[in-house]
Amino acid sequence: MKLDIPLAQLENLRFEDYFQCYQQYDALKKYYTKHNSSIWQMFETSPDWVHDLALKIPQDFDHHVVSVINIPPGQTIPHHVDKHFKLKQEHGEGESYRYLIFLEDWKRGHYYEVHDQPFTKWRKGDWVKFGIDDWHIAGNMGDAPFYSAQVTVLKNA
Amino acid sequence: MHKGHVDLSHVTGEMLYRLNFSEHTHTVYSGGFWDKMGVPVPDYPYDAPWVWQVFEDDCPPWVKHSRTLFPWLKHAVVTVNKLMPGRFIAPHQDTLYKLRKKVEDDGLSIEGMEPYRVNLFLQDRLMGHYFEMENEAWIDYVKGDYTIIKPDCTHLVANLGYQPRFTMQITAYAKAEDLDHA
Repeated sequence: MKLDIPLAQLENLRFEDYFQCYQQYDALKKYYTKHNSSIWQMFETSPDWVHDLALKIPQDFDHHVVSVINIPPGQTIPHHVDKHFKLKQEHGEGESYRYLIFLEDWKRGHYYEVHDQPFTKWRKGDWVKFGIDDWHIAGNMGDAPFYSAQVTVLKNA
Repeated sequence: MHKGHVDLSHVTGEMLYRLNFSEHTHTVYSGGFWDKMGVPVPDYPYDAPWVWQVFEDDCPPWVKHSRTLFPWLKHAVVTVNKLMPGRFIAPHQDTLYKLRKKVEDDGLSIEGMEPYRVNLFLQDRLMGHYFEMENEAWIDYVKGDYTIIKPDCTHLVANLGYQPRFTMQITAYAKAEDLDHA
């Protein structure tokens, strides 16, 4: 999708929620702690341009939520699946997916992997769609923040 | 990115896990890379930029023998790196300090040669294992694959998975034309 988001707009995001990512199996708990797997995330309070991203994806859903993530240098979101629990709690059961939208061109050390398939060299506006059974990882070994947006969609059964 | 392959079928997972790593190195300063780039040292979490290493004399025979796979390398020194999950070596350029010191201490001839580092993958790529050089990622390597790192090439490695990541570094001098046959 076409995006026109200047870096300053990303740098001006007022994140208030900094938390440790959860580890979904024991092999991860030993290595990923609050020190190396914490991220900034913003949900409903995201600015309008984040909410508007939902208008730029295929309109085949009934409900959606958006968020923005900033992975600081040195942090990893370890191997996990997203269950979209909150969306389903509010809007009922159905088929749900997440769109991961890259908000900047790829930078050195920025990393995303889904189903053992690594992604690099993305362009601003590129997106990946994945479901609740798609294991994935993201990390930032570079020296600049890694910004992405998430639009999670639900099509009621 | 220069890519090659050698046969490492004799190297087993047990051989890797039995390696005795003698040094645990914190790499946040990236060998002066940040200073060279004129940027502040990133605010990495203290626990993240660590690598286990074993050097030259402390390596077992099978590691030392590996340099014979690259006969075009001269005065080679070997290292094995073990990167634990959640750890990485941030962007850096190799200083090749141990090789330069060896050449100086032993008075070795390096006429017409340049220093290079062979980065040899000791495992097939596992989930979350990552190599990037000059903004190009190598994401489908297999055991025995290698690349050649020139001293001014910026690169980084990471392990965002849950299993240790093992690589061997063979650092040596070579003639530039020998790289064409590597």
